[in-house]
Amino acid sequence: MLLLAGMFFAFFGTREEVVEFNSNVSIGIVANNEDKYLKMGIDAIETLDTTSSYLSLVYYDDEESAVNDMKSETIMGYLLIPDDYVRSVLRGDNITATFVSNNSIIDMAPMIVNDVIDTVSDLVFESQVGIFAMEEFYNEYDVKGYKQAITDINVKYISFVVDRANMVEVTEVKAYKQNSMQGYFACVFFVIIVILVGVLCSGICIKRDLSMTRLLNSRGCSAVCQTFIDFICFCFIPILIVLFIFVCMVLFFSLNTCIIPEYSDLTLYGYFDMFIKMIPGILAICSLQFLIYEFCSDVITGSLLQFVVSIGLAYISGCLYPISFFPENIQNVVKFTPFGVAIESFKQISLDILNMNNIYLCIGYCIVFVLLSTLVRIIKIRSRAV
Amino acid sequence: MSLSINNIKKNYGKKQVLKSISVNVEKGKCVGILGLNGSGKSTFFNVLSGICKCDSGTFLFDGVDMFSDKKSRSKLLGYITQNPPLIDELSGLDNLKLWYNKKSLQAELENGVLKLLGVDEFLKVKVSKMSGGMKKRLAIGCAVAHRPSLLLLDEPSAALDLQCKERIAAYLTQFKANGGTVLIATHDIQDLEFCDKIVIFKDGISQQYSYDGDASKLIAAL
Repeated sequence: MLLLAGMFFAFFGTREEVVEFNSNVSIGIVANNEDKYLKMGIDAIETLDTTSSYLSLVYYDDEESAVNDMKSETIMGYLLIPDDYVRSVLRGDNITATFVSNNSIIDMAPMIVNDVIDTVSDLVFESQVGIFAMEEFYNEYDVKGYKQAITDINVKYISFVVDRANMVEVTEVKAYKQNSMQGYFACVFFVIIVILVGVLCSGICIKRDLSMTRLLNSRGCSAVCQTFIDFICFCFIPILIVLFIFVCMVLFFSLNTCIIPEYSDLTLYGYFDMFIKMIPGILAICSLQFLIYEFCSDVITGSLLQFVVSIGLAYISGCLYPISFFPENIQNVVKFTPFGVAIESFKQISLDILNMNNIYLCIGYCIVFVLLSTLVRIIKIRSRAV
Repeated sequence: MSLSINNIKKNYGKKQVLKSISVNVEKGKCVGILGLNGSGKSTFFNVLSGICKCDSGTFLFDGVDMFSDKKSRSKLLGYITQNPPLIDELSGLDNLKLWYNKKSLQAELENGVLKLLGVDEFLKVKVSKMSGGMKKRLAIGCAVAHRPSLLLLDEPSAALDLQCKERIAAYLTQFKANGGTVLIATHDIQDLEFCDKIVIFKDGISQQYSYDGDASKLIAAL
């Protein structure tokens, strides 16, 4: 509850920033700022409804600055616009722009490129209107020798529009340690699986009455011991299922091409190593679910509460959308939530750049939530004894 | 005295549930504990079984201080709760396997407490499909797996038919004959005929009562 309250205030406490915020993926624009037509072109891109919902543009005078910012992950990629690009489009010439990105958003490149092409097409269309207006003007003022010029420029425009596919060239840079889209969603898949297995275990986790607990207590098995053993049994099921998924991955990728770049060069030992390192993250998620179950006494309440809390936390931790799509305030808080820490550790494990601080956080969460669960169990046993 | 419980006190916050409870009885006897709802019978049993701690008082059984010697308490004491502590998804046999080892389970089913309780008749039935009487008998069978010397029964015959009550009574008779001591918290007058001593809980204080078969006098005393 404290965690959710903190996130609520972090989000709504800076509401003004949230209203102004429309930044999701940062893309650089490298172009000659002295080009008088460039501003017109950039304005055209910025006013497109689709780009404003997921892109924020950062402007650079030189490519080196953009490359440095891409290395530091300030931007995810940049569009390299040649000199006089906009003017050449308006004239009907076909100069190619280049979109450079790292592998984390390379799958978004077609979407970004299409938006640029749409912008250029709009400019071309407006230019065509200008050409026809010019033709009317020449007719009215009986200007000689214009017909061939009009024909030439129209042919250029037609070939330009038809050749849209070559308007922007996409280049991928693979130098930096970042998760690919496939790798990212593989991590998310594991988190979702663990959450769903936890929700499905509501029938066996929820104590409808405390008779068994009290009997075990009278036989020398304390509430602490019972809670610890219950937790171990609860974690066993999702860990087993994740292991099963890994076994399937090993078999499948040994026979077929591995579509997840992070897993493409893994040996059997590599898969096993990855599985072992994921266990603290799984324990962190399971411990929160276990604590939620301790508060419930019937399956329906337990399942609903589990679903709302777990899926809600998973959503803002970056399970359905990359975390960079959320406001910075949310991102700062989510880094420390159990699910955020688990996803982050899974991402690092897949890149083999595991930061032990995440593991310590996962284990810390596990210990805290299990202790809280024990406390709740003790209170429940004693408070019912009236 | 085999069982000596003296001056047990227990508060829940400001509410004093048990003010002064004392029960003393010899080995091989049965004590019936009567009281209105909320008089502290279940609290008393929870204190004796170690589920919650009392504020003061002593509990000696066969010379062993049961409050301090938890290991002996878990060995000597058997507690049958009001709700049977069974796993609904498992069968009767699977529930018993949680408490008995293979050898002792076999022995008890053939010629022991489980046979006497009639548990062998519904071993393969799932607990969720059992009647209340079956569950109670199975619960007793599970609770005495470690062969306790002192039994605490919290309303053992609640909602049971006569046949079930008879079976349980038969088991308790044998238990007493073997030197076991029984404490029964009950509202059932039929159970009182089985008891050697009756103690009434009233306003948190225990009072001994001589039951002469007159139920109206008994009710007036509560």
